[in-house]
Amino acid sequence: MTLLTILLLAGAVILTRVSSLRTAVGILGLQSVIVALACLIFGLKTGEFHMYIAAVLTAVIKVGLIVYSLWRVTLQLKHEREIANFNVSFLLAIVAIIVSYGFVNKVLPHMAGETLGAAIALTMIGLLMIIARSQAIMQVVGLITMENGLYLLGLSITKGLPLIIEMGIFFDILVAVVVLVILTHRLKYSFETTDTSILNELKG
Amino acid sequence: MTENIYLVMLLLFSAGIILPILTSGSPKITNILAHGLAVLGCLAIVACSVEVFMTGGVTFTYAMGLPVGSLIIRIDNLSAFFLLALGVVGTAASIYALGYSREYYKQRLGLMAALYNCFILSMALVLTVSQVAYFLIAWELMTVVSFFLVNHEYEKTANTRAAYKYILMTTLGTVFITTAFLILTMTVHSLDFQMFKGASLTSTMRNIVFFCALLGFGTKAGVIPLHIWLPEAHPAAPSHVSALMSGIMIKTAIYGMCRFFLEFLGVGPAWWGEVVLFLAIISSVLGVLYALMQNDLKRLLAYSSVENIGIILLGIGAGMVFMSNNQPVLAGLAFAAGLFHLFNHAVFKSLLFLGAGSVLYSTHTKNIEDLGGLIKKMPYTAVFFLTGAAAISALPTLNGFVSEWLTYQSLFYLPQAVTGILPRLGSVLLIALLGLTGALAANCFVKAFGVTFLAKPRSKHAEQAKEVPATMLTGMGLLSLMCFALGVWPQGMLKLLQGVLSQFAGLEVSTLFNHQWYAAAFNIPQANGVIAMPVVVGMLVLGLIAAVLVYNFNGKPKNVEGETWTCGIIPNARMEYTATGFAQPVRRAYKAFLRTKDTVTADKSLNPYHGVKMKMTVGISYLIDVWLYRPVKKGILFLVNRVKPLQSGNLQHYIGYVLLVTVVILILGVRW
Amino acid sequence: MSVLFMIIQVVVLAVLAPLVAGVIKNTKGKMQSRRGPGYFQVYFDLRKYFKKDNVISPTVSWIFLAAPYIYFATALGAAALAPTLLFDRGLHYDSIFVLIYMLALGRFFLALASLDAGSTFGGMGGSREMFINVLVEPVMMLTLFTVAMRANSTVMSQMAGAAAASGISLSAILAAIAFLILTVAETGRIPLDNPDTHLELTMVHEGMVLEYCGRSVGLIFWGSAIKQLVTILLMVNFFLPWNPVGSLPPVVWMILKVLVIAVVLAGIETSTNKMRLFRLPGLLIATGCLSLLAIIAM
Repeated sequence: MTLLTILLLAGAVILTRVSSLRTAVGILGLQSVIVALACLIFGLKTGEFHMYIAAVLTAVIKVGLIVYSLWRVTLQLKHEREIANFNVSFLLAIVAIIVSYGFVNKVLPHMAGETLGAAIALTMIGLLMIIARSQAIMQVVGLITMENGLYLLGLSITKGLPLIIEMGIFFDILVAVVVLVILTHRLKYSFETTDTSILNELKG
Repeated sequence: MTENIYLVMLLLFSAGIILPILTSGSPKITNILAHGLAVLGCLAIVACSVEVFMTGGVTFTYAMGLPVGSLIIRIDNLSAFFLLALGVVGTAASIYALGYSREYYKQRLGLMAALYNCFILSMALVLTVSQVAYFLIAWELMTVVSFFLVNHEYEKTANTRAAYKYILMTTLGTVFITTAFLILTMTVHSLDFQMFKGASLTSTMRNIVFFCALLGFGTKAGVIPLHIWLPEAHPAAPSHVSALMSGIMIKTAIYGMCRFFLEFLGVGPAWWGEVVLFLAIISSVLGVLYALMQNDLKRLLAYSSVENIGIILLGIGAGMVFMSNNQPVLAGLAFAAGLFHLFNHAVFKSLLFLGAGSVLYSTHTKNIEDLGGLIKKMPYTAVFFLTGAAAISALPTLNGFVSEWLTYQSLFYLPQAVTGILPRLGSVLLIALLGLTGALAANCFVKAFGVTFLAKPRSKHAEQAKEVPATMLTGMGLLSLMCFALGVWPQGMLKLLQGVLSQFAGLEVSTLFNHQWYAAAFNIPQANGVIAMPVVVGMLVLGLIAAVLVYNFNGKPKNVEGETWTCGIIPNARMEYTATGFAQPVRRAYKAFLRTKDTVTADKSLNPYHGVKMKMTVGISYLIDVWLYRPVKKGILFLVNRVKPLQSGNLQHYIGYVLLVTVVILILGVRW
Repeated sequence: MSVLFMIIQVVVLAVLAPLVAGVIKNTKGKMQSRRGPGYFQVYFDLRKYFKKDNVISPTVSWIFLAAPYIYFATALGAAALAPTLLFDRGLHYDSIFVLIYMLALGRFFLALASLDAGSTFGGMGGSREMFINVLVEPVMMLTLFTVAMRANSTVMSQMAGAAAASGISLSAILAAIAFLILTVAETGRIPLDNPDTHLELTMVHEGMVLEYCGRSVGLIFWGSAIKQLVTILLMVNFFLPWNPVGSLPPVVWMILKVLVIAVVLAGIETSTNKMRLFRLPGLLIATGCLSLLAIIAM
């Protein structure tokens, strides 16, 4: 479990330094695999049957559908690269990890497993990605990262959410990604780029 | 019985709201259905109020299944009095609307008719609901519905601006009203109005509630300096709605003040009354002064509403001073004066708005400089408008005179009730200023009627005017009759007011008036004035008979037609005195309050020597705007410009703000 | 009974009013080193007017035709209300506010009629008349208030009684001066208005009724004369209530005082110039201050 957490965090941190869209999607897929594994481990630990279903769902939706659709998009965006100040994002990601672990230590000392802190850190890094990246795909990747963080959070606190809620969340995120992919297509079609910073020019 | 009538009333208006939307196919059917139902509903309101006056107040409660408690409808005599005004004016306006709505057959008539029914219903609810939460809901419903009505002709930008100003100001007022109610609610732990009576508040809290109620309701009533929405919103609405807005809606604010000042707060310190008097006299003098300067007929009437709200508040303020001075009889007189004027104003102001609507209907212009000569084209409308104009100028044998007389009477005793040389002088000046108001009002309505209806038409619009349909005339005729009836025989209304005011502690009205068939005498120690309108009527009638006799003493005269003398030229409409010209002496004399800027520009392009076209523009700046609202506006703009860079329009920045706030909250949460 | 007395009072005042107007005209003439028209000249004028036919502009409406009747009726109504100390009215309907607004009714219709004919002169006269009224009305209220406060009543018979009962005081004198100026204003005389002119720059009341002729103008002039007498009566009974010691009955004193005021009015008119219209606010503000002082001194 600890290993998985470390891998997750490492993936997220690397994600802040990636400029190629396809690499980012790849790392995202890896991350989702880890989350699915974590789910499975939790299921083994607690013996709850619905955790297995959740793990399967994670694998199918996050690893399968989402990564596949993003991958399809990135194949069309050969000339798009992320241009951002990676050093600053990297530093901020490190700070986010430190802050979240400190926060968990301070507020919930009895819960101070690695998972909780990692989950919060993951959420914040995802948010940072959304803020700091101008490529639409990278923002989607940030969103999924955040989602993964939240999922981990639920996992670590409640030992697994009720199945119906998890299915709701999956459906939600699927729809969100589909919409975002369509939007990215439109963006490419209208502006010939998926760099969202050009949207600022729409401001009246 | 009352409850049944009330429910029927609710039913009628609900049908009136729903049906026009269903019958959007044929505007004719919509018109007849919706306004017919409104007439019936208003008659039900009148019946309800009469029933309450006959059999006493009623209370009924409905559990609504909402978390804010059950709905309490309580109709006492005060509510019934306001309901009566609403019913009478509403009936007339709805009959009028049957004809007037033809203007709107192609302009979203169904929507307007539904909103109109909803508007009357919301006012009826405001006047009867006796529970804080539902009162506020009804109050806001009234505001929102009237906002949509003001904005009905949104094709004109001015209307939309007026509507937004209106909603902004009244929402501000609602904040104060809500605060006042919350303080009371927290003190007595109840939402029922009845529990507020004699709530034990500290004096600071009482003062806060007083000011909140005054500011909150004052905004709706259009008291200067909170009036700025009124002269723009009232002209923007369709005319029958303007009539209801000016006639009744702003009076619901007075209803709220009466509830607070008479019932909830009880007898307060004298300075409360003095504050009210101060605002009242400013409203009446400035209101009528600005009214005189207007050339837009409906705007003129709207400003005159500000004036009349001032006169109503003069009565109420004087009553509050008398109450705190422990003079219940005089307090009763003053409140009776205020409420009487309220009813009168409801009648004649709606009449005038309906008259202005008729002018608009047949000429399609509100600018009185383009009108003239309508008395020959629209003789009945002219008579009705003249009745309203005379009534609002407080001319004898019409209702306005009676209530102004009562107001003068109550102000007359004011210097005895206040102590100190300055308040005494101030209260003496009140009478002089009320006299000034009366004279300015007369001036204003001579101008309004004279320029609109008399002499020759000043434009094509006015030349082609036709008399309006019978339904519109019926509506106006009804109100004109009310003006005469209340003026000739005010004892009935005074008796009603005795019933309304007798329920309040601090007022003593049971022995105030000594009713005879021809007069109502004040039973006030040392002074025994009499309101004997039949006597005044008799004098005038005898005088008229004498005049006719004298005139025809030498047989009937021969009448020869001869052109008006204009130094030998054939007169045309351009030689007539204009509205701007008529108001010019006052404009010049009251420069200090109007800050006029008259500019004359000569167009010499045609010919440098003669035949020069002159154009005069008159600019008036409104003191309250200049001194109060503009600095506030500037301040807000300044602040907003400072904050503006935050609003980058970039979504990512906004998400960043969210993250920042989250982190800050987390940090604060663990108190690092 | 009181109705009968009232009618007698109206008839007497209506009959005597032209005489007072004649006295003023005659005195004015004498002061200007002319012979002046005879005391009864106004009667002759009225008789002539009432014999004449009318010339009526095609522009006018019924307002124009009705206004003289209404004006005359309100003047008669004012005469019925005017305090004369001759009888007690028992029923106190003669409030000062009724009188003021009765006159306002007449003024309202005359001003409307001035606009009706569509001539510039009429409109100007009406506009100025209403303007002067705006200036006069508040001051009038203040000045009458001094007497009403003394009587603690707004009923005119009681006010006159209270005024007669009070002695000469600073307050009373100040109020009397203020009301004298108001009398000049109400009767439309120099320096506020000029009753004898038909020059468009100076006329106010005359401008307003310029379009009238024949019997209508007769009604208006007679009405104005009655109004003038009523104003003088107010002045005499409220502000000059003191009778020098003597065995003469009060009625005689009243008639004498009315004549004295008539002469004073003629004197004022002879000895001053017409003021510019926009100097009037100053004059009336000063008058208002006088009445305020009178109230403070009380």
